[in-house]
Amino acid sequence: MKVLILDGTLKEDKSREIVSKLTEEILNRKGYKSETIVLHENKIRECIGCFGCWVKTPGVCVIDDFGRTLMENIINRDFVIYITPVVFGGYSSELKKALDRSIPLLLPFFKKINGEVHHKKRYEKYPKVIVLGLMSVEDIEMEEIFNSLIKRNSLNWYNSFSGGTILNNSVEDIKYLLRDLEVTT
Amino acid sequence: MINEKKALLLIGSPKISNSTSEALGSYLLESLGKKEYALEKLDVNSTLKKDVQLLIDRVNDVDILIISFPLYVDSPPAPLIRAMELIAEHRKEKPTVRNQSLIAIANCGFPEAAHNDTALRLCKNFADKAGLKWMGGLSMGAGPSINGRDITQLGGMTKNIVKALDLVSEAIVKDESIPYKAIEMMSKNLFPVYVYTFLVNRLWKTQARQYNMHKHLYAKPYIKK
Repeated sequence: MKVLILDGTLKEDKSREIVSKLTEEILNRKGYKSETIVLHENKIRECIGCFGCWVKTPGVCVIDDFGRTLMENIINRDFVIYITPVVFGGYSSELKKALDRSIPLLLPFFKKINGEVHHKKRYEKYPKVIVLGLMSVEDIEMEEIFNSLIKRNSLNWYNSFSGGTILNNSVEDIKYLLRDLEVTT
Repeated sequence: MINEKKALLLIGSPKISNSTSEALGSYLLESLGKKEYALEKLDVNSTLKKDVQLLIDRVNDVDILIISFPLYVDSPPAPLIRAMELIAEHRKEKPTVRNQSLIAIANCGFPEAAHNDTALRLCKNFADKAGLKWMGGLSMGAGPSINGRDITQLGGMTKNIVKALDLVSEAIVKDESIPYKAIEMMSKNLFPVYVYTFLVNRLWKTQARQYNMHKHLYAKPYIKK
């Protein structure tokens, strides 16, 4: 089984590369093959909120760049791992730029789920997403916001998210957050 | 006037036209103009591409910073997050002694304003990290109903929004946090949820018809055969 890793670390921050490598090693030991995409190395333009992906070219972003390739890649995976520094409790601008382009994976139509309005599914199945949030100092407020963001993403992607924060590139934290990936060999 | 206060609006919407974020932020900014504030407005996405230093310099030079943005995937759009990263990083290296404040206005396409809550908490965290005094966040749902139009010209639909922003501009002048009443008025549903949901669901079909795509709205282009 192949896992897609989206490395959303910022270009200027080289200290985070180690987490990507550690994640690949842990996945390898569990019997998974992985592919890592370093987002800042790819040309992904920002979503311009035109909704063309819903009404003009349904399911495909009108911007023809790596963002399209990435969405096709994501929706056909069983597991996707986001790696991101925790930025004000959210995702980095690099990861966010890619995720903002993901709305064609949902339908424009609304439906009520547990009393709140969300977009309907376009696809039957969405990958399980595990979010690894990198922090260099403990910051409870940022952790709380981060966990809340994961929960909100999960609601909008049909309960397929888990994850949390990793302090100082801790191997134990990474192992813990990847615990749901069962050993396949 | 040398001693006049300065207000800067950062428009966080990457949309090229019909921006609700701009309509909301501009109304608040112009209210401050009537109260003798010097005004400036920057589009975040284009400024990041043209002149990052200009963005940082302008933020350093204001008394009140207003960020107005649409909710994209549960948080502010990527260009606004990039701007926040750069501003906070710069201010960490060169802290300013000036008292500066931040207000955030979030709008989303869902009928309920509560979808914006996490994004506003994120903005508060940015304020703390960037050394800006957090004066509060405003949140509204059904943002596309405004579609870039002047909120004073939309009758009863935006009555509460106009009132809320008026209360906010009064609070800014007094250097007070956003009053709870303004937060409450801003976040009131513009329409009953079922009405908005029905109208929006129908609108997508109408729009798709223009491109002869109305029969393909449920397409699954990325399913591997």
